[in-house]
Amino acid sequence: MNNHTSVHTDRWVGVAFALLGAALFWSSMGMRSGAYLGDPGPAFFPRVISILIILFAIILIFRARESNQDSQAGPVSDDASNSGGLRRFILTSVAALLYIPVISLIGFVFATSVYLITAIWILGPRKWTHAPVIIGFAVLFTLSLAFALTRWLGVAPPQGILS
Amino acid sequence: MLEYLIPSLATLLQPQTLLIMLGGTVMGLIFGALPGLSATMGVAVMLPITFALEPGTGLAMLVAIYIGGISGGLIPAMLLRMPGTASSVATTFDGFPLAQKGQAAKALGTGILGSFIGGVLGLAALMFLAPIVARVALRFGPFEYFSLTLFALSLVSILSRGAMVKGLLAALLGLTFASVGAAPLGGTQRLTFGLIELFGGFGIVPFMVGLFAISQMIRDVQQRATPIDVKLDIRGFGVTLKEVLDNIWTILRSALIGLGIGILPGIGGAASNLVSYAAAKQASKEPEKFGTGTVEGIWASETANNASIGGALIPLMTLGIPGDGVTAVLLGGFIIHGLQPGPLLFRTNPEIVSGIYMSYLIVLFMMLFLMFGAMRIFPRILQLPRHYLLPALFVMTVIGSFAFNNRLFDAWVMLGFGIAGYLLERFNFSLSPLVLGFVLGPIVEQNLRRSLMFSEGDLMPFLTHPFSAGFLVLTVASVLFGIYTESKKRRSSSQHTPPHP
Repeated sequence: MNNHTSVHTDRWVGVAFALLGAALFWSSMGMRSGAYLGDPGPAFFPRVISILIILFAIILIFRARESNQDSQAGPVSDDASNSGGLRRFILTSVAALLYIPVISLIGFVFATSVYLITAIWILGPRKWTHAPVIIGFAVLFTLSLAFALTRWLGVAPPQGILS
Repeated sequence: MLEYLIPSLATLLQPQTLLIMLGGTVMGLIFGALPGLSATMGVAVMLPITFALEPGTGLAMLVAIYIGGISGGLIPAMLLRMPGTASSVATTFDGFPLAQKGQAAKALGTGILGSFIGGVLGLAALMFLAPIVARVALRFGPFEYFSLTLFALSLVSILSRGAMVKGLLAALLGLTFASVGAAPLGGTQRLTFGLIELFGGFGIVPFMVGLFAISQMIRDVQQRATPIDVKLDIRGFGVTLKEVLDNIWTILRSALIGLGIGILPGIGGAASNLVSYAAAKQASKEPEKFGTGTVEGIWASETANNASIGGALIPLMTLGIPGDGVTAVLLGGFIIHGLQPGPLLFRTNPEIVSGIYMSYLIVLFMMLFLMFGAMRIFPRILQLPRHYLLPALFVMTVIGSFAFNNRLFDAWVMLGFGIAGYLLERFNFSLSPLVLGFVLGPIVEQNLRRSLMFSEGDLMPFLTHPFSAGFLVLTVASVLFGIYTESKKRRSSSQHTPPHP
């Protein structure tokens, strides 16, 4: 397993930052600028930041080109590279991304119970004998959290537009 | 300040508050003990929940999670050779071999007592130094604050993991995120793209929770958790008074190192435990025993990482500049309770300051008794099933972000920052400069613009004000030091790399 970010990656990261800097500079053109009683205005800071981002991004790109060894990466999971781990990661991510809009549809209690059952099933050993425990945990945890939020913390969880 | 200590103690000793602090300590221990979670994540997850508590109680809970989290990292470090947090890396060097020799109780007992003593010394330094720093900081004006925050940003960018240019880019990215919303002076809307939800900028809660908790969860989901089976015979408490006295110089030196490193913005227990271990080994009469299970190594690591807590709280409380990642999240805790950390906090809310001191002390004792009392069930903590824990934590982060402003938009912001944090760390960017850039961005800009208004555009006052000049000199020195260190590293790596054929 290759645990190093390639020089190639650093180059593209530099390009991404350079584009970000350019976009930020372009956005700052629409802001009020010019000194008034010494105050450089609200456009000054974003403009300075954008120029510095572009400058350091260019340095990063050139460093990546000059570099003759791979730079050290953050932790990379071996499991993510095999199909089982990747499938699990994708399914968990989809469940997480769907959870938030579903809360606004069917409310916190139902959405959370469904999400927990789904996510625990995906991440766990996936044995049908565990299903009652998973369902019980999901419902109990959700109801306890909803109770703690409303009674103790005074936060009303979303009810959903279908309620 | 002293006159507020007893009333604060009386408030904290109420049963409900004690229970909340105990719960926070336990939660912190669990977050610190489980590899893949962290004290920062624990504080981030619970941050929005404390919004509904009284400020003193909410901050006490966050401090409890902080201390529990840093201390809890020694459990897997010694039993599994896996540091629960970055603050316990050096603890594995001698803690694990000592436990393997059948002396798990001695290893754990030494670590627990080292954490307690380091925490007490850190608290003593905090109580002694914070008022002094606050009195000096009261003399700071916009010139001094601009130069100081610039120094803090440059230091953390240069000292963070990875290349210096990446640290600086991360800090600039943080400054960019901080620019979204109303400008500090005048309220001009910037980078909102017409979204009403962004008129107030990115919320600190979704930012912190996403960056630290969600990014970590993404990493944890990628790694399939291997079943942990630890069977160790743990008998007695393992440590004697004689052993404490025999190692007193190691303990004191490690506490000083932890304090000194904790005070520096952006670094904390993660560096202090390693530096302290190296210093202890160098000063030891038997350095060859380090790495084989010597208690000296455990004292060094665990005393330093807990002393760092007190050190990190000094710049947070006196200047509003976080000393490490956890205190950056703690800063969010102050803000959501309507408190502004800085020198004025000691004047306007002395009871809050005293409350933090007293809760720190109470939690240290809770941590001591909990860890000694629960030593035998530590292996069970390590076996908490991840596939239940991670989805539950995700739910808490979503509802916590929602509760911040009563809108699901913040949950999306949290997810966005989580993905950004994960990608940045994947490409070897440190998150500390990003966090500091976000937190200090408004302060830097506001003080720069105020300074220029006072001086009518003249830059000379930045150099004629002594403290401001001093901080600017330190900024230049840190940048030059960073350039020198990096070019030295690049030169030595190019010498060791064989040329391409």
